[in-house]
Amino acid sequence: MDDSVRIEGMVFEAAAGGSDGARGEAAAGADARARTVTPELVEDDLALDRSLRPKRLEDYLGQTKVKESLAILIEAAQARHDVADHILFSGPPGLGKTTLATVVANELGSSIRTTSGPAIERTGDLAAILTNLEEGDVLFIDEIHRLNRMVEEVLYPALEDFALDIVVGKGPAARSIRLDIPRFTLIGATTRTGLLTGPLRDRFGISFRLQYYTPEELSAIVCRSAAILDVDIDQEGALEIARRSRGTPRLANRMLKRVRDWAQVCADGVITEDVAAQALSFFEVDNLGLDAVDNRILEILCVQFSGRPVGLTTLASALSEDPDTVEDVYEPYLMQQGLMMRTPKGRQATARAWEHLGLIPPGEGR
Amino acid sequence: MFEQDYLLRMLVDFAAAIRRSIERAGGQQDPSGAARMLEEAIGSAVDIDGGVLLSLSPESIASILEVSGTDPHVTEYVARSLLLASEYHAQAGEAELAELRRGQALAVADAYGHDLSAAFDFEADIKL
Repeated sequence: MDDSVRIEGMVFEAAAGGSDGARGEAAAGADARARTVTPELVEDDLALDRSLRPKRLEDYLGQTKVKESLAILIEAAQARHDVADHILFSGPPGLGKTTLATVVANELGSSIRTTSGPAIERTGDLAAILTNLEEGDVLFIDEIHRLNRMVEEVLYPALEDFALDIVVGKGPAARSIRLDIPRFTLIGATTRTGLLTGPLRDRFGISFRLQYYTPEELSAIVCRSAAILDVDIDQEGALEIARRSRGTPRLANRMLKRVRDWAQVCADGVITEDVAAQALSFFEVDNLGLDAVDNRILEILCVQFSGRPVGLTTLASALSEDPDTVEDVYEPYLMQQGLMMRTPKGRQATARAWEHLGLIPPGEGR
Repeated sequence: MFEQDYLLRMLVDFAAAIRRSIERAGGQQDPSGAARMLEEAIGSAVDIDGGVLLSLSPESIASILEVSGTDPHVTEYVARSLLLASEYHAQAGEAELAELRRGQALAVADAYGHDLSAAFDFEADIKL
């Protein structure tokens, strides 16, 4: 466990990133994580994340509506001298759920205890965390959809009544003892809201869905990060990196780092639009943020199968990849970009995909 | 009478577990295993899921024992076993766990007014 947090003799997994469903994680595999454009947290991001993460709400760029709502929530809680409502952040990996949790804790002036759903294997693990909280603490559970059901049951009274129910005795003599725990704010983060159980979802006072960032927002983030990292970059250079970052700050920061290295070695160290474009082309990230594998998928659909619908397993075989990896890692972004569609007969390239590859769709050429 | 018998049997079991743990830590050079053995004995003695009970913060474990009405004789065994488990964990190089168990032992002792620094003869105590 590289980025772990120790709480009272127990080790919990790092909260930051790595958020995806169990199937997605299994499927994604090492190959997918090695991609420059993977939104998942990779080891290389850890130090970068720590130094670049905004600490206060005013430093956080983008997600304007979410920030406004959080500011009200925090101010109201402080005015009441009460803990803030439990908060749920959902959205794709790399959009800033963990960062927002830290920002909320900072704004509340509270300590944050960090763990993740799969790290809390037994009810005892959760009991340890809850009884070691201080009044007003923020408890952040990443990948909260992966909490097991037994643990979830223990969490309900903790969220509603700030109490922990412990069973004493066995069989007919068994009884439950209620132990008061400090009042706290739970912040849950999930990439898959659909996998959250209804009762758990209902116990969050407020829920936010994080959206992909616009190139302008990402450009501002790149400029801020560049200033922190002492990288020389102009507005156009930042925008070029932003355009290729798939709407994801984690990717934008990672690409900034790669482009900085390239500019240092192959240019004069200053990141301009041209330098950024050349560097990202060198790292095989094109102007839509697609990498070599994404483009290979489009080529398979358009050229190898002449634009006809292709089944998932056939596509995966042609790509020498696992079908789950294709479905979970590569397809979502291609579909978001309108480059690929799922039809009852299989996957098919859209007109935009043909255009992106510089090809003429069948029928139009005649 | 029944309650007295039940308590006595519980303490005998507890003392046996402590003796086995001492043998395991000394003879078999397995302090980690000895600590686990003691922790299981604590869970059985107080009739609470040991995994949950021993995960609690020191103050919470003391509160739970108080609220559940655990007999003071048993809590003294619990506190001393926790202290012994703490030593085993320290021997095994598990410093954080050793610190936690020590904190739990002291919290239980404090709640019930047990003096853990005083010498304690388990076998003499069981003979009552």
